[in-house]
Amino acid sequence: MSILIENLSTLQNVIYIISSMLFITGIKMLGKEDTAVRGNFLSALAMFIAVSITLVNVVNPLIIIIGISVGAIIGSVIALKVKMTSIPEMVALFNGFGGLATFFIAWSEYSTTPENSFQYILIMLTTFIGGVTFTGSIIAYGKLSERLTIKKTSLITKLFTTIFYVSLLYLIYSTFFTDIFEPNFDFYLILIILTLLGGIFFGVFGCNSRTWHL
Amino acid sequence: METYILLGFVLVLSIYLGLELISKVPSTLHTPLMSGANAISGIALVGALMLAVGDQFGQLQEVLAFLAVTFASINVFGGYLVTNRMLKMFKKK
Repeated sequence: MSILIENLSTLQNVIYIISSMLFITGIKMLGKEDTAVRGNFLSALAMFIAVSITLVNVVNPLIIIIGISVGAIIGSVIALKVKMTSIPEMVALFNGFGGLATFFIAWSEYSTTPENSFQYILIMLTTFIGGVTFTGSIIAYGKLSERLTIKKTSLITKLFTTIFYVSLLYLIYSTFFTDIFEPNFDFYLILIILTLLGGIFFGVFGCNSRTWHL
Repeated sequence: METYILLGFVLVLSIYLGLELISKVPSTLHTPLMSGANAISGIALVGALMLAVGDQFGQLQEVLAFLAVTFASINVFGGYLVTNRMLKMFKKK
């Protein structure tokens, strides 16, 4: 049995290598006008292969099937129904959802006790990056769809800039100056909240609808 | 430690690869390329799935894994379809 599992995991890794080759070729083709459509298809194929081979050793298919179906329906409806002119903010929204997924993965990893300090550092950084991506992209979505206007000199901007720096300091403090290996929810909760609020800073500064070529 | 060194190699090489891939791209293709790259970042779906197929399960992990799978697949499906729509628009011109 153990030999079988070992072989399966080797096979999975070989297929991951093949799918990363397809991804790279896909991006390369996406950069030239005449091959762009095929490039996009190729990278979608690579994604399909990578996801399928991961699903081979599935233990509890129900939550995965429900999760993927709900995501597929919501994603497809948004992508196909939305007006052509509001595509930029949709891309921002999708990017935010990707960040949120990363954030949840890191959170879940945190609650299953990290094995060593390096893993601990990675989990903290991933939480931060995922959370910042999510809230930053949501603000970018609001600004691009013109539902939200924030002036760069306003009080809100100053407030969130401060929160961002505080969150960065807390990240550094919590990652490098503490040795907490047992999940400590209160301590981690502060990081989560600061990270999510701090991400707004990127949305306020890093997005300008005039920079889009569409 | 060996594993982390190898992962470090992968990280550094992929940073250079990324820079190489996005240079010399015509500016009209910048938006679809960014959207396509965002769809690829939905590969976090594989991480979410690994989380969901794990056997050590608590209530919290189950909820988080479900949410991660859902949001990652919104990113994947939405990202590819939006990119495809944009590219089709370029073809008509």
